[in-house]
Amino acid sequence: MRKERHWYLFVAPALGLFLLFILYPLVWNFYLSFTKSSLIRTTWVGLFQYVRIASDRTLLNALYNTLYLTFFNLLTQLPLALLIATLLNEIKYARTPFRIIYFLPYVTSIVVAAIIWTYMFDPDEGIFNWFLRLLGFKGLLWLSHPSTSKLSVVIFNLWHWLGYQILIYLAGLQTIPPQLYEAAEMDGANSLQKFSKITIPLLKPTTVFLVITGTIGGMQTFQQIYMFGTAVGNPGRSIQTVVAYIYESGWVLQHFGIGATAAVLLFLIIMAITVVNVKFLIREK
Amino acid sequence: MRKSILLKQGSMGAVLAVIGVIFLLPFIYMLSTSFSRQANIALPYPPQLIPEDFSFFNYIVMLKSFSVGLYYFNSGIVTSSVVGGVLLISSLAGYAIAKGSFRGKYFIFLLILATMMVPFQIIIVPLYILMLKIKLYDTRLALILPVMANGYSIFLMIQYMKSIPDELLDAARIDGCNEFKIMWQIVLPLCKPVLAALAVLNFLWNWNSFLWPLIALEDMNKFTIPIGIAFYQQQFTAYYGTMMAAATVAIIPVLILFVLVQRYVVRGIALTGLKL
Repeated sequence: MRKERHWYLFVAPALGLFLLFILYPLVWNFYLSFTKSSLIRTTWVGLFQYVRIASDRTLLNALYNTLYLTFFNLLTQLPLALLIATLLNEIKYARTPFRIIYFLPYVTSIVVAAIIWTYMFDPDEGIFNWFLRLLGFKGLLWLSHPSTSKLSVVIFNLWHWLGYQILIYLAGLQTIPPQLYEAAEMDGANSLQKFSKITIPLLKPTTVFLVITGTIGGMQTFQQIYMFGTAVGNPGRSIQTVVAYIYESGWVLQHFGIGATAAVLLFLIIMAITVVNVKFLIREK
Repeated sequence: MRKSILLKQGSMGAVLAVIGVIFLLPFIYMLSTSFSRQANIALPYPPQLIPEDFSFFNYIVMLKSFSVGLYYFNSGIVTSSVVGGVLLISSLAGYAIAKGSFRGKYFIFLLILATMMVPFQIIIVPLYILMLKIKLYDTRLALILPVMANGYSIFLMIQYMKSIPDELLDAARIDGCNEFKIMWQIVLPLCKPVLAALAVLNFLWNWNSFLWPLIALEDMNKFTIPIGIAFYQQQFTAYYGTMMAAATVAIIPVLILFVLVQRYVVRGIALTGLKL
C-alpha cells in the first residue's frame, strides 16, 4: 500500500496542468456564459446570453458557414483521397516521393499558405483566373465576392487536408489482406467490383474516423478565415466560422460573455457529433 | 500481359505526377513570384515559372522590414519547450497508467481521454482571462504551459507502454531499481519510435499554432512565425514580391526538415488513424 503512493507523483504534472488549463477554464466558460462580461466587470444575467445568441443572425450565419464548409470539405476530400491512396497503394515505383509531395501542404502553416493563396485567387492577376481565361472562360471573383468565397475556402482546404487523408487511407489499405483480392479475381471480379465490394466496405472504420476528425476539425476552422477575410469573415461575413465569431465577440467587440456562450454551443455540437460517431463505431464492432 | 501491366503502371504514375504538380503549384508560385523584381507593383501576369526580371530585390526589402530571425528564435524556444515538456509529462503519466497500480488510476485514465474531447478553441475566453489574472499574459509561458499536457500524446504512450512485457520491469525491481529509474533506463529506450513520432507531431501542431498566440501575445518581440507574418501581411499586403519572399523564408526550412524526418511524421499520423 505504501508503495502505491509514488505513482501519484508520475501523474501529478499531467493532472495539474489538465486541471488548471483545461478543466478549470471549461467550467469557468460555462459560468461566463451566464454572465455579461467585459474584462472589468462581470454580472450574472442567467440565460440572457443564450436567448440573445439564439436570435443572433450573425451567429446563425457563422454556424451555417461552418457546417457548409465542413460538409463540402468532406464531400470533396474523402472520395479524392481514397482514389489517390488506391493509386499510391498499387503503384510499384516512386511511392515515397509522391507521398512526400502530397503531404507538404498539410505540414505548411495555414497562415502562410493563405497568404500565397490570396494572391493566387486574385481576380485580376491571379493564377486561377489566368488559367480560366486560357481555357476561354471568364475569370471568377473568388475571395472577393460572397458567391464564390466559400468555394475558394473549400478548394484551399482540399489542398491543405488531402495529404493527411491520403495517408490515413493508405495505412488502412495496407491492412487489407491481398488474398481477398486474389480470391475475388478468381471469381472473375473486375477492378470496379473489387473496389466497391472489398475496398470500400473494409475501409469503413477508416472513413468513419476521417469523418469524425474532419467534422471536429471543420468546427474549429479559424486560421484561413482570419487571413482571407479577417475575424468577421469578409466578404460580407460569407466565410465567418463559429470560432471566428468567438474571436470577434471577445477580442474585437469586448463581449467576452457572448464569446463564452458561443463556445458552449460549439462544445455541445462537437460533443454530440463525437457521441453519435462513437456509438456508430461501437455498433460496427 | 506484361505490356498491359507496364502500361497500367505508367499511366498511374502519370496521373499521380499531374496531381503532384497541382499540389506543388502554390509553392512554385510563391518561389517564382518572390524572385520577380516587378512583383511589388503587380503580380506577374501571365504567370512565369522563372521570372524574366529575376532579382533578389524582394529578399533584400523583406530582410530589412521583417524580423524573421527573431520570429524563428521565438518559435524555436516555444516549440522546443512544448515538445520537451510533452515528452516528459506523457512518459511519466503514461508509465504510471500503463504499468502502475494505484487507487483512482482508471478515473485518471478516463479524465485524460475526456480532455481529448475538449478542443482548445472552446476555452480561449476563460484561458485568456486566467492568463491575465496569473500575470502570464504576453509571456512565452502562456504559450507553453496550456499545451504541455496533451491527452492524445499521453494516450499513445499508454498504449505503447502496455506492450512492454512486465517481466522486464520485475527483473529490474528485484535488483532494487526505483520506478523512475526503471522508466528512464529500461522503458523509455524501448519507446523510441513512439517518442520520435510524438516529438514530430507536437512540433508540427505547435510550430504552426496561430489562434492562441494571437490572443496571448501583444509584444512584437515575442511573436512566433505565424503571428509575425500575419502582422507583416497587414502592413505589406500590396507588396506581393516582398510578401512571397517572407512566406518563402517562413516555410522552406520547415518543409526541408519535414522531408528529412518524414518517416516519423508518416508513422505518427498513421498511428492516429489506427488507434481509434
